Amino acid sequence: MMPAKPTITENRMPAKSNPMAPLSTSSSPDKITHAIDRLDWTTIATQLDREGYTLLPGLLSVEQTDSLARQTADMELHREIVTGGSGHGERFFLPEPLASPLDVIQTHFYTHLVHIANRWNEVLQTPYRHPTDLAQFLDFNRDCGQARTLSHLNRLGEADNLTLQQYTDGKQIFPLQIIALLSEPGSDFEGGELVMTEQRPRMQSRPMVLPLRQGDAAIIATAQRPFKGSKGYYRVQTRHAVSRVRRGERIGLELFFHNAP
Amino acid sequence: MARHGFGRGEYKYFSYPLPAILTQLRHALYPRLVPIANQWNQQLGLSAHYPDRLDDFLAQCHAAGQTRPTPLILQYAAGDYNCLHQDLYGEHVFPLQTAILLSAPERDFTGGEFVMTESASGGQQIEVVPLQQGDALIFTVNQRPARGLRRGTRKVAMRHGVSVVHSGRRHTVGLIFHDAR
Repeated sequence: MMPAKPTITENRMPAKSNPMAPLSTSSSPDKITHAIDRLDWTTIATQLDREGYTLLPGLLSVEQTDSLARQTADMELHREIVTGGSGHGERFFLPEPLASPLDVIQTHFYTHLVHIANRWNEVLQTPYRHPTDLAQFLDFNRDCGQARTLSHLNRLGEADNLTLQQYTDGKQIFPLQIIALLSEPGSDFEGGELVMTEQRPRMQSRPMVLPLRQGDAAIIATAQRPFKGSKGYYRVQTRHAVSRVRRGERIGLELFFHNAP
Repeated sequence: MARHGFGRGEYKYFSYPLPAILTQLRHALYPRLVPIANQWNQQLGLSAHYPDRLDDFLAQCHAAGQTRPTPLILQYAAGDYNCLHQDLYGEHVFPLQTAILLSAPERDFTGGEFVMTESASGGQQIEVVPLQQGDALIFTVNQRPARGLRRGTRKVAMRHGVSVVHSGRRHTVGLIFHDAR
């Protein structure tokens, strides 16, 4: 049952690089799209159908994670304090259009994931089909009044956590999203596990812990996915959370394909 | 376990007399936990008061028809998991319980994390508890008092479960203080 790990880069960076290093220029848009195309998309689709998530180890290099994490110091980003029912921490919403490499990652992952999203709609007998191009889907979002970007960084300090969430405001919801970890567990922070729950009708919730290291990402179901039972497909609810950070600081990335109203 | 919609895996309840080590642990832990349990009930405005000795509490359970022992051993193999739940077996509930990990993470199994949820103030917080072989955990059965957001005490509902085991076998013992109907 363990999800095989499709790998996007042959070599992981063994150690954390100099935090003052210049932005990575090694990953050109062509290289990123090529690496995404080379992922084992059959296995990814199977894992998403079965578990509601799939791991993408080493999606981002240490230069890329450090450069993204540094953006939490950028005062121009829209910062939101997370409190109350959503947990404790900070969110930093990224401006549209997304900067490299997230722009290429977002647009190119969409071209692959849209087929899974549309197949899920098909088996759940939902007539809507997402357009094959992200720009067009985002146009439809704006037509529905969903103009606010949801993609964000989150920063959790000691004792912070994010409660179980679904980002489902609005009519246009893409059923998959990407989550990445920008800090290193064990050295930068302890605790702060990415946890998903899956709720099936008339059953208790199933918890899943997604093991991530710095630069690793996961594709996860945003809120609903089809589950094949003995009497055909039914809809299960998925949520995700970050457990309490016990020590240090954890910076994460949530990348969405739909906007919020 | 799958039959009941609790998850996937195998579990077996011990029968009386329990293995000596579990009897000793259950009797040694209970009197230490009683003051906490009684304070919680007081803070939550519950009238139940737990007796100082486990045998007296078990006599109350047995008189109410909760006569079956609840301590159990669980085995999860690859692909197994335990849904988020509360171990309630009748009207008599002792609000704290213990789990002991018998296997070594990484060596004997991967995955299989102990996960708890805590529902309060409109959100569900998650806790992943790191355990090594031989470690025990004392945790809330169903509800506990917590400091209110502004003042006073609020009630926090908790559930626990186990995330999917990726490989190997994970064994645990669960030590619950109330018996089952």
